[in-house]
Amino acid sequence: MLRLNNISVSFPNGKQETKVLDGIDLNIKEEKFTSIIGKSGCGKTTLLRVIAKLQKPTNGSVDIKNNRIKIGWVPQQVVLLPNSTVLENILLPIDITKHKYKKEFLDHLLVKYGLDKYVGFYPNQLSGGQKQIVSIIRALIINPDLLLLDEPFASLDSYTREKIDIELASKIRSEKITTIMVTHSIEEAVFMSDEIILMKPILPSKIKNIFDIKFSGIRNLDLKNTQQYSEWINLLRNKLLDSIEINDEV
Amino acid sequence: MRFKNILIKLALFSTFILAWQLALILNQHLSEVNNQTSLQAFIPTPLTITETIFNNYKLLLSELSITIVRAFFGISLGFLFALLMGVLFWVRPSLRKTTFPILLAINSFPIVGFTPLIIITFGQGSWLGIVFVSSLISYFPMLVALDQAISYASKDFFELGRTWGASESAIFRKIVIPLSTPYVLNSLKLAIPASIVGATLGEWLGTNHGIGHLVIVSMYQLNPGMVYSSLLLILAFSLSVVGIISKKEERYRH
Repeated sequence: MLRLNNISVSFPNGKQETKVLDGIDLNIKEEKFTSIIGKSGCGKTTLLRVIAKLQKPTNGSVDIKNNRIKIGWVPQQVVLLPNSTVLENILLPIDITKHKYKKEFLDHLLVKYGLDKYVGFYPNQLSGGQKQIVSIIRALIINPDLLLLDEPFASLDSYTREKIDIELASKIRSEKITTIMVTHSIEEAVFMSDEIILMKPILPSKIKNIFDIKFSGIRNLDLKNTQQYSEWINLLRNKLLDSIEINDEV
Repeated sequence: MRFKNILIKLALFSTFILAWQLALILNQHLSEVNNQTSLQAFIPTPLTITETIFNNYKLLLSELSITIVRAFFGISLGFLFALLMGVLFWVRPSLRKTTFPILLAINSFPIVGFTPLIIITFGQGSWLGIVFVSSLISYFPMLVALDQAISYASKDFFELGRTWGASESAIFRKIVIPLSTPYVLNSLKLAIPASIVGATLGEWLGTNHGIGHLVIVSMYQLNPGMVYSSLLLILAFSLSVVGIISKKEERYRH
């Protein structure tokens, strides 16, 4: 689906340059959910922006199977037209690209995420979490081949976050959308992902580990009570803490 | 509550008009006693203004309509220029850095003093000269508004549009323009009165028609009633347009 070859990214820092990513080789599997985790500022968002072609790498290349793929992008900061309603904001990509969409699919998403009564509202009449949900539905409405989520649930309360995790994970799996998500939540990453990429905390950052997450059962709330789930959480937490501590000692 | 507000405004306005009328009547009596020139030679009473408007409404409306058409062309030209510059700033942000200070300088330039030269350049009696003065005075608020909207829209919305594979013109039409609309509407509240001032200013010097011309002629004829009537009509028109725009703008206040 997507291959990153020896990606490096540097940003100007005064007269010098700061290298954020160095030599990233990565193969993103089709129809799978991949999460990127790591310490704050380690270049996770930069990596996602390189994949979205919003950030040109200093070195290396991004090979996409089909260059005309539809990308659903959910940025960290909610970006909504303030003078357009929820519905107008959701349909903005449709209006711009003239892609077709299914009305029933939209209605289903609105009901599922509890926004069906808010379609005529304006963004400033919504809570932070609702705005982020609008952003997610807007990304899903174009029926994307590649869904890129940059900490999409950061502004949600834990209850809504858990509810949306379950619904989104099930939606993405049933629609078989290749998804890459940047997150700080290990629990969220384990629950939703088929693959988790752990980034090194020091700059320039590289990929430290890649974990294949496999569960025998369906991904629902019960999964969170299983031994297997807890083991994954502990393993990843330790790996993340190890890498940060080693870095702090250095 | 709304009715009460209207009543308060009406009371204040009536008091002001009554005080104006009474002050001038008193001044006239005192002037007659002291054998001095009455202030009414320069300042008409509200009654005189009403009479003048009533007796000359055809002339006033015909001259006003000429000024409005000129101001309309002026503001349209100003808007097209602001839009063109806005698009150029959006496509080439580096151009903004070099050009914006120049445009700011032009706006700070005392155009009133420069108007006779503009009128002479375009030719005495030329519509173009008046339209140009009107556009020169009115373009800047619209440019600032578009520039604000474009800088607000630039990064995040542009990136979002790029991920959808949208063309730059589609992003401009579907994102930048809707984002700019409230800013532009707000700027029109400054730009429309400015364009009328510009057109009136041009008419003082350049033509034989329009409210500006009527004001100058009435001044030479020592007819303050006509001067005030003309200016009052201009004011009423500007306020009505600003009122309509404010109503339109309410749609964007969320």
